[in-house]
Amino acid sequence: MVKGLSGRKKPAEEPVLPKVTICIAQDGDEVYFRYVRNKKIQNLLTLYCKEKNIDYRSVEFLFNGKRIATGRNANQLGMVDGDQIDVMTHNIGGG
Amino acid sequence: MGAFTNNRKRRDDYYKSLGPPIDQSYGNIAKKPKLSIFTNQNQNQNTVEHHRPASSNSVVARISQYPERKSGFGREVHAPVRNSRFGKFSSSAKNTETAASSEESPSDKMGRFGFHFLLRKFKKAKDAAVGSLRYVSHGKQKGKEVIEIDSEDDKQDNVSDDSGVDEAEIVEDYNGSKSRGGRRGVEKLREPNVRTVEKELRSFDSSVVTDVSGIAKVDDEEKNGLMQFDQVEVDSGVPYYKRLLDGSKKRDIRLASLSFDIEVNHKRRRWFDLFRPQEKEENIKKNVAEECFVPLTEEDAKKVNSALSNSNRRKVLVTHQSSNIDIVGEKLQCLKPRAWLNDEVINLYFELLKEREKREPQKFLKCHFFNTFFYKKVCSFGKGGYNFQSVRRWTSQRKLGYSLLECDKIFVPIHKEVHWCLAVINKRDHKFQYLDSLKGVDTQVTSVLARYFVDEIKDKCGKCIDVDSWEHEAVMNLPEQENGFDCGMFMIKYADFYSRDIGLRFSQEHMPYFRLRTANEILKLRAE
Repeated sequence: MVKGLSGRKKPAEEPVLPKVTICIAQDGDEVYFRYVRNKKIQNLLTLYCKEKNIDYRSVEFLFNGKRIATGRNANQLGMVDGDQIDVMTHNIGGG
Repeated sequence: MGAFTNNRKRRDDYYKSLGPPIDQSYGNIAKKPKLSIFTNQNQNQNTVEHHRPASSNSVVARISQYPERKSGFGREVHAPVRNSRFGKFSSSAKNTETAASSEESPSDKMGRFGFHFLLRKFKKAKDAAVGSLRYVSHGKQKGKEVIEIDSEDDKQDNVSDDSGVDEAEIVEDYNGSKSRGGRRGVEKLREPNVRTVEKELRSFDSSVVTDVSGIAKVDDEEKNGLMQFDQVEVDSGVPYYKRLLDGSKKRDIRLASLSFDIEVNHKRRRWFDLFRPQEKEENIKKNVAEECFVPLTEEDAKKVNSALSNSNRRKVLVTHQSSNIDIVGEKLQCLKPRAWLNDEVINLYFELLKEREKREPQKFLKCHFFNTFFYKKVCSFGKGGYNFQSVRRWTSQRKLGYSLLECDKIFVPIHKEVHWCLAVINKRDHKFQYLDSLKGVDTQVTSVLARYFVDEIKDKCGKCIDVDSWEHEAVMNLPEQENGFDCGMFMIKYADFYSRDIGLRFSQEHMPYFRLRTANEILKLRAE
């Protein structure tokens, strides 16, 4: 009984890994993701780029105006549900 | 009337046909003396009985309009003279004066009055009257004229900065001559002369020679004036107290003009004083400005050169921890000559500027530097091109450690398709500034920033500030870009110099150096 309970619990816990709803916004276009908190955000972003067919290097991902460092996860960034990541394209200018 | 003129014409013809020996004036004289007598009588009645002082004044005033008489008739008058006709009028000075008024009229060229002794008598009286009258009227005119001159001077001083020193010299001369005149006590007659002197000075570009000659002239004319004055006193026989009164009145005018001069000179001094503290400040700032142009050491130059080489294209050269910006060789190559700057270099440089300010807060203004994405974010996808919510969390107190209200200047890089410019929220001077190295003007930017700043302060500090009175300025007095690739460098240098609170003392020719310097600072992750 106890075993069974615990056995039932285990598979139940795995999908209830702490997740956060993140909005990735680019030029007014918003895409929402539910993403695991302690996984690298970078993976999500590369996935996004693949989906959107854009070069990962050609854009900048900003969270609250700050560039998202590679290797950080949502917990480290202090993300909560509904937080938004801005996708900004790089600019050059010469006059 | 018509018949009369016709007749006269015919008569003229008749005389002409007769030839020159017959004097034409003879024919005219029959009418004109009568007419003049008539007017004289009328005037006599009016002036003697009722308006004696007024009419005499008006007559003398009218006389004063004519050029001063030098002598009596140059030639003898050839005309029949009937003394008995004018004898009754010649008895009083009044009558001679009124007669004189008619004497000046053109008809007198015919020479009806040949009585020299009467003329001489009249001349004396007239000289006295005209002399005194002219004297007074001169004084009045002068007072007005002097004010005009000075006001002109004032305007010129304010307008023309370049000739300020020359003007000052002239003014000193003017004052010097004036004080001399004051000792003599006959300044009223002299002042218009000074004016002419000034005119001369201006026309000859304030050379010393003309100045001296002008003053000499003035002295001569002063003497003349004195002599004239004495004559008037003797002739007119005005009571002593009246003369004293006149004298004191004259001094009143002089005092008024002097006090005006004092005021003007005070203003002028204040105007000159404006330059002095500025110069001192500039000297101090110069030392600071020298720091901006310290050449790279050989070692640094070598490092920069190797970092900019193609072999380092893929290599991550530096990583800025706090902003998570990695600079790979490829990105840094935008600092090579003629290359366009990218936003990563700009953002990193601004981060370094912020760190520099934290390191030495007493040396630099308290600033905040937004990154290159801020403006795009704040003015996109919102009502009327403005969306505060999208950038609300960019400047949290926890994140920055300070609020924007504490900052003297807030720098916002603006990206316009292919061009970099800079906007500044200048809280210290209450200005929204827009700096474009190509001298572009965009009022949209400053108005958006004004809205943002109000909302930001309201959101973070709970204060309502009024920025309606703040000036929106497109800075025009700035170093200009003369090519198609240096705007990014100009932009970050505007921010650099402004955060030092010094003038934008650089130009296009400094840009190659600034590129190397910036690359060096980024490689060292330390801006100086």
